[in-house]
Amino acid sequence: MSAPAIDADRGEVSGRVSRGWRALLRSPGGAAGALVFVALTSMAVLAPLVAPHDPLQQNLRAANSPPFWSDGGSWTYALGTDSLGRDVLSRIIYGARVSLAVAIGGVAIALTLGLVFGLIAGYFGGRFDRFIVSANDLVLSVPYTLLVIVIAAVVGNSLFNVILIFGITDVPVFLRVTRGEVLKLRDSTFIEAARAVGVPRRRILWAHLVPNLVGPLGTLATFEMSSMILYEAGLSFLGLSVPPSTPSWGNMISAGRDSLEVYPWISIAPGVAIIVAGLGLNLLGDWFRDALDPRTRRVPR
Amino acid sequence: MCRYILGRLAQAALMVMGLLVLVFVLVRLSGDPINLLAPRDATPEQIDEIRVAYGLDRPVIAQFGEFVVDAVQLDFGTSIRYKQPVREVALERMPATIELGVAALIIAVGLGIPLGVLAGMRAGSRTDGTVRGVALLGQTIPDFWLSLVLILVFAVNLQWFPPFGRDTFTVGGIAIPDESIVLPAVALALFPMAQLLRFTRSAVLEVAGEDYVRIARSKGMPRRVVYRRYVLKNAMIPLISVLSLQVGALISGSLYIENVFAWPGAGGLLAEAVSNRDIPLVQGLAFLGGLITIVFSVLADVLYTLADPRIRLGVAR
Amino acid sequence: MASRTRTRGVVGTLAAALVVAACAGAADDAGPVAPDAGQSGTSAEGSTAAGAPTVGEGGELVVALATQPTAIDPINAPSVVEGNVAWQMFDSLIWINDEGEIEPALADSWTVSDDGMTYTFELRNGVTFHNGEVFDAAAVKFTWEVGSNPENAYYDSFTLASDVTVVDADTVTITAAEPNALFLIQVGAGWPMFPPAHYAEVGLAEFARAPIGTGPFELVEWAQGDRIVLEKFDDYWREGYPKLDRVVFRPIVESSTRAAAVRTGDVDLVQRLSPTDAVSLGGADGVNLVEYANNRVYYIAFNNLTSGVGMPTEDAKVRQAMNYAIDKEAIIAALFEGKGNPSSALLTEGDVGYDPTITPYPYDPDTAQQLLAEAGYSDGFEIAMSCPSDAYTNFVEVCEAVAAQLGEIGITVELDVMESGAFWDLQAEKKLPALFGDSWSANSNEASAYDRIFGALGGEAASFSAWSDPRIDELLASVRTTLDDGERASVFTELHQQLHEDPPFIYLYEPVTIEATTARVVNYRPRNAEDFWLWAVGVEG
Repeated sequence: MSAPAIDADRGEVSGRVSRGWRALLRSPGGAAGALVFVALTSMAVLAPLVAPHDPLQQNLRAANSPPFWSDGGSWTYALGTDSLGRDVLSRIIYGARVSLAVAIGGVAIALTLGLVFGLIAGYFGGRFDRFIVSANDLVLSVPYTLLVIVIAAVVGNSLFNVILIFGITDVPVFLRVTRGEVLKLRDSTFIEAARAVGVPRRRILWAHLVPNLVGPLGTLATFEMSSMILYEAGLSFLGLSVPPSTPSWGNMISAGRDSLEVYPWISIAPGVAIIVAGLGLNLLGDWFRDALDPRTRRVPR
Repeated sequence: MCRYILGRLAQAALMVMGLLVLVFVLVRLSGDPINLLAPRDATPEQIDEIRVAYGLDRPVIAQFGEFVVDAVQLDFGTSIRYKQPVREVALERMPATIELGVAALIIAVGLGIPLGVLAGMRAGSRTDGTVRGVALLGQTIPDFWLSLVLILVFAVNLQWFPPFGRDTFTVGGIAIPDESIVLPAVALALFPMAQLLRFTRSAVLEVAGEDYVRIARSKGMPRRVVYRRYVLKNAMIPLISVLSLQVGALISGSLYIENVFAWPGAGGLLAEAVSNRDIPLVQGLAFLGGLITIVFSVLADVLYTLADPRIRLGVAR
Repeated sequence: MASRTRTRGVVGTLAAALVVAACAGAADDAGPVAPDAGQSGTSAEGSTAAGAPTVGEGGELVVALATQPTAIDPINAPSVVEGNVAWQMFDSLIWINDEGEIEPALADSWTVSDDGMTYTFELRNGVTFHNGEVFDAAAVKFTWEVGSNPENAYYDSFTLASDVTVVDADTVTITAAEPNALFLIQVGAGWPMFPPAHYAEVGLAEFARAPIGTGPFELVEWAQGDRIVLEKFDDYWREGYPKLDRVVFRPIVESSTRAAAVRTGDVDLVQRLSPTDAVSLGGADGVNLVEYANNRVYYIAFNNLTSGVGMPTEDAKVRQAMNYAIDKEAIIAALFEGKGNPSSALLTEGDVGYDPTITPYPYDPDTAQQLLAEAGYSDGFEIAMSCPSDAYTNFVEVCEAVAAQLGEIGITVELDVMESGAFWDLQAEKKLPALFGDSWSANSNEASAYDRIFGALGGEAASFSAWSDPRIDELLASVRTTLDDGERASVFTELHQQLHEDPPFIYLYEPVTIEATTARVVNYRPRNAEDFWLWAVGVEG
């Protein structure tokens, strides 16, 4: 029951992954989501190359110009300009940096901490478990936005603070999922067998438990990234996120809210960006879950 | 059973205590909290008075003890801006938020659950796809942005609803909000509705796959009856927990929505308090928000236990 | 700054001769005779002109407030928004009408002693407070006593008087603490009258939330966050007033929601609309736009007291260069839909002594660079700037534009936008960086104009000042002690010149305030610090 079980486990995982790739290409939702994610990331990384203008470059004489499809619009400023004459399209491209930084940074922190503590709680159980779970439930009990806002109000606003706050306040979600999965897997036969045979605990953790967490955690990560983009926008709306000149989608909506009727593109473009990013990530998450998470698969093993 | 409830209450009490620790620590995160708790134009004598009033001259443990004792009586000091006790200011604005939350919940449940059932029953079909698309939008549209758009379209252009505020009509001496509650409630309900929809859908799918349902179907029971008698009832039990989770979303959402719609609730008050760095008020409202969430989650757990016959009858799950 | 417009009480409006100076100079002259109280300051543009709608009786007016009120008595109202609510419930001894002239209010007449330090007021008979208490000299004295309490936000208008004495029930003397040409306005129009018995019973804090005065409206209800309801005070001393039965104030913090509210008619009167709101409301049915030049000056301030010491900005040429570097017209066009005027100094057109020949610095980057070179900074320099967020419409964008334009002449600006409360906090401690953006408002009377200049440039003596100029100190002292009208006006003119040539600020703009009413509102006459009185306002239909 030793070598074959372990190999079967690994083989099982890699088989799933390759089946996953094919499934991705076949599913429209998943492909769309992946496309959005890739586009988002490239936009953020390649911003200086992709953006037609410097997002901070002001041109007061061309302020509040409409997008190219309206009267008075032009291809120079394809999505129009804001109240200081800055190109909306360029600011949206650079804004992806903030949104993505918050989403990826925040999720990275939350996932790492949630994974570690979830593993400890789930695998070792006992006092660790009880303590971690209580602390977790506690942080969970405070409405997310409330917590984030209170912290932001106290420590002040900067991108770094925002990422840190989001990361830490989102740990409970990842922790709960990790712990749940670990609890289920801990009692499964192949783990029991591995232990019986004397496989060291660390190897069990790394070789067996963690690979099985990829699915649920990956799914969760994409959903949480979508949420974080939304929350960052909300924080910007209250003026608690990055400083106003730094282009962020939330900032842009906030700046354009007074002129929603007269110059709607200033607020609508970033709003659409948020929705598209959120949609894409959600679709990706949906697909991820359906493809990799054994619980919802209908294909019999 | 009784033991479970008591145990749950004890756990809740612990969580409340933990919440107090959290709030206490948060305010002291950036050093000397006196800057956060005293009005800006306070004279040095006034600052000293405030220091004593909040016990900041005492050791941290004593401070915390006093903080807890005060918090239990909902005494969070004096609001810097309103110069009134935080409790008064906060509690006065609570009812409006509760009204809005209830209205939003009604909309979320009224739309989310039936749509979720529909989608679950017709899983894989185009109806399912459309409904799920709606849910997806509900989760990704920023609520503050939506509020602005709703006002523009429904209040200004179509003039179906007032663009702001809470207007009431009186019935039997009680003031009941009129159509002014519709737009803010819809904006607030969007996210919970989407969540409820997705949950209901997967609950329906899960239960539909259970053996006893399949047996009932194979015995010739009409689909509708099967769904009503088995699927819905059993899917509803975990719904209780999901509903309690939405309380948090409703509280969070109210921050922006009350702000934009000038709805006189505690959410808008918190947004204002945060902008003004009125920390005593922020503290009090954050605690109240957390407290309400804990209460609802305990309530939900207890109801869940009561509703799930497997637990009630002591049968192992 | 919004809060400072009420420092000396709400007074005055348009350009006007200062009748008070005539009184102060002459010995024992009687004050002006009260014009017929029935005329509510109607003038050529008045509502009783033929063909214009007349003010009807009764009705309800709904007013939107731009911020959440926290205190609504006049000496604790944090800004003009709350002040507008507060002053509907109170009167003061004199009243400055729409033309800027002094009219009797709670005082029928007054005389001044020979040395100009003691004023004797004959009080109006038969005036009662909302709760039935009688208004008399004792009430005046009481008001002075409780008003002087430093816990009040505007207690300093009461410390202008060193003594208040009750001569008899209808006569009271008020003595100035020091020679002050502007005393009558500051005291006569700045002190709201409080009811002694009631105030003594409830105390300062409670009174600030539920005030009682002699004014045309009395407080009926204040539902926090929801509405403040005032109703007509039947025993108001002005015969035939107020016209309205009820006034309801609704706080609407979100600017676009405010605009929507007046559009749909859910609100009758809205202040502080954004320039784009004006564009969208411009053609709307049933909405009248009210635009006026607000007496507020926006500027970027220099510092020579703390963080600016040793910086290139101490050199006048550098400061002039920076003034030349800013394209004010473009900023006004882009951010304010062209609704605003470039500023030439810390005086505005309505101010006494304003010299119209002094024009604002034009946009001239070449001259700017030349001046910089002359001062020895042809390579430019670095400097830090801060400005408050969400305090003024589009001001953050203005600061961003200024930073960018300074960058174009080689001055690298590091801009820090901070939360307004913290910002003013630091300003009061003189801890802001070498450049900071802010504004100051004044009413169109000398007292207010003086206060503004002193407040911003009083040096160490003024809390919010970051600049000290001995020449300005001289001139300000001269204003205080010059009793003659015309002479004082020329002192102000010299101030104007000095402020322009040796600029302690980068002057930016004076905005046009944008407000709106529904068509049914008649006789709404705001003053140019955004303050208004409602006793003569009516609604038709």
